[in-house]
Amino acid sequence: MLCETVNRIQPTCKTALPRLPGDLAVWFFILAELLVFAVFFVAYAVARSRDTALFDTMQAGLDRNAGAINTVLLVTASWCVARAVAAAEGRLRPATTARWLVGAIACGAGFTLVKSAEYADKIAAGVTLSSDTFHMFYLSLTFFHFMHVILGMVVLAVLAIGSARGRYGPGRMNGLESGAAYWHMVDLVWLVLFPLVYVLH
Amino acid sequence: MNPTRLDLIWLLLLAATAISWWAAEWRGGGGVTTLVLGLALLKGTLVILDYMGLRGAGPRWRALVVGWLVVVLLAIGTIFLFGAD
Repeated sequence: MLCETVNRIQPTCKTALPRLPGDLAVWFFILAELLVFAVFFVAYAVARSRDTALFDTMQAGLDRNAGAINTVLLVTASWCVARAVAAAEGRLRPATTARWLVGAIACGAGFTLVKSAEYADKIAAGVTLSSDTFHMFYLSLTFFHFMHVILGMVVLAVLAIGSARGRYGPGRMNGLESGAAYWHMVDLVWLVLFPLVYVLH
Repeated sequence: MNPTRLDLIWLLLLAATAISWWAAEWRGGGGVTTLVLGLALLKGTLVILDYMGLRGAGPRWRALVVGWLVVVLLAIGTIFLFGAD
């Protein structure tokens, strides 16, 4: 609280105070989502430990390059979103913020295309949710995440339109920061999902 | 957040992703598992602190979200290393 006293004389101190970016409600939503994914991840690991031979054989049939390309796309999308937030905070032209967000949406779209191609291959090979335990987890876990990417792209599109209209700037960051936090959560979950499902064996 | 820092973190995330990609081919058993999960911890922590912006939030929020990552990765690591049939 010393900072607040100093604040009257030295307004720069305000930036040093702890501040949660975006809306508190979005953070509760993010925590709930993270908990659901955590349960999913641990369930996958436990199921694998009961039948490592099946999981390792079936995992070898996944397109690991597709998974790695998708990691690059999501990480790049997160970088674009972070730059969009920095652009709005730094009072850059609204078009600059919007352009970074469009870049992120393009990466998200790339992710959905690569993932759809993976699903198409699996479906063509006759794989379904009931094929085996590995594919039950692979399909449900990645599709649950896929839906989050779709929702994230809708959120980013709304933010891009708002940015182009100059809605965000210093002191008016709540909407942009909230949407950005949601998108980064989608990226964060994939950063655990990719090694777990595609790499570790 | 300083844009240069955001760019550097992006490059770090890409480099860590490339290493995990290659590591999948290595025959190292527990060593590879530990390395890949360690890289996931590094990547996730950077995303949480610098992209989500929790570096500037209160310590409790930071602990909560980074704690989620640590618990999940520790659980996965423990089950992969010691839980196999």
